[in-house]
Amino acid sequence: MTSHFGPSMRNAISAGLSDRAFSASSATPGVQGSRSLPDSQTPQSGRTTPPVDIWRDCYALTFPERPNSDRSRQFLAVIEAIRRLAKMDPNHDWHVDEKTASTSEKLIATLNFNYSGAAPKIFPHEGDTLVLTWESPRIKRLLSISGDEFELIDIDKLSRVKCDHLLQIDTPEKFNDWLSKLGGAPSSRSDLEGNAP
Amino acid sequence: MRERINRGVQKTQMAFRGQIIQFAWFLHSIDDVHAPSMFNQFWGADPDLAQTNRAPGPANPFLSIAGTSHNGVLRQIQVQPGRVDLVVNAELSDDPEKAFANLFNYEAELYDISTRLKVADNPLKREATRLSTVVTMLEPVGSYTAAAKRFFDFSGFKTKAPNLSDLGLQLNSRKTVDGVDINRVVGLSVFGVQVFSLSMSPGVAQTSMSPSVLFAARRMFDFNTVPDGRTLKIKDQLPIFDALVSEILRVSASGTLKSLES
Repeated sequence: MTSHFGPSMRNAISAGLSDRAFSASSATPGVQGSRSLPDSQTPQSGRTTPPVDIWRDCYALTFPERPNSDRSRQFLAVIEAIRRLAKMDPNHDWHVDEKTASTSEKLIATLNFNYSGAAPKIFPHEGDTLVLTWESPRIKRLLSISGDEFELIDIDKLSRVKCDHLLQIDTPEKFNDWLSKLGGAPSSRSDLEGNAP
Repeated sequence: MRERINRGVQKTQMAFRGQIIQFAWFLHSIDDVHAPSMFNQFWGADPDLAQTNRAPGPANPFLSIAGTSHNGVLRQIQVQPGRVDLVVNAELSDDPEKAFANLFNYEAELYDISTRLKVADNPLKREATRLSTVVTMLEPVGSYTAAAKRFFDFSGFKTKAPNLSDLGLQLNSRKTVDGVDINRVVGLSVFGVQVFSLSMSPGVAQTSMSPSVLFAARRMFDFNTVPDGRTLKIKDQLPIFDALVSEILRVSASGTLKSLES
């Protein structure tokens, strides 16, 4: 996949602007709908050049084109990081193979849009394993992903006791229960603005 | 479905107009889903704007996005990890004093989208983990007080407290439709807009602001299937979308939150 547009267009899109907004911002003075300046601000050349309201169209009524919650941004930062790890030199210690990256991304995207919990943190592991971590005041949860295999461990921070979970996801109910363990309660909202609790 | 939508059209209070409509498919895998081709398949024309992105991140979450703006309404297909969205979005009007001029007839748009989904035989032919339809509608009014009245009328909430502001209500009522659990999230609020413009001419930059705040009563209906670990088969998806649309039209047309009791 390649980007068809330069940074300006990408920024315009990511800022939630319409394509008309971008057209207006790149237009030259004199476009239709421009306003006149007060006399005191007439350009010194003597030629009256109507100004351009370059941001006039930039205000979409809302901004459904990008996540605007800190929570969504954190999930997307994790996905972006995983993609970059997958692109690293295969000999690099932090390299993650494509299968592991793909599995991780799908899981994180599912948790982002369907559950209400916090985003995990990541650290690469030897042997192309990726580890996702969630922390509460008492428990640290680690999910190791290698290819399409998972291993879940809880560590009590005080006692250092470890608990290995057997992941059985042979029914939808068990799968949902497992996702809920990682992602918290199922979210009720689904719109792009409100996917954060 | 068509009859149910038509009944909704007849009953719905036409003062409210559409701001955003969104149909979303939540997927485990969005491999090989390309927004421009889906846009063409769904709306029958190439998009005016198309972008693909190798590494989506917080600044630009999309793997691909395609859209066309026509008569102040932007139609888009958005693809990002975990979901594909079909979006219809009213743009702010060119005239700051008529900011809401591009609001659209949401019932006609819902009918159009539902019809196109059938004609295209569901353009996204893959199992989904969740489906969603969201309709946000506005009724432009002359004052905050008038918008507040719409809020009170729909919510049933009453108060004689003076100088009210910051009105907002959101609730969810689950319902089982044809064996599928759905969330019915309804949000009510008062929406205000004031337009700022940055004018540029050689050597001069000037900001201006529309003299008044424009108000609207806002209703948001986010009806979606409950994520329960099951996958929704392709053949079941259009009936589920039909059910979501019908339920949104029924609740919005009722003019009261009491409609969530059934």
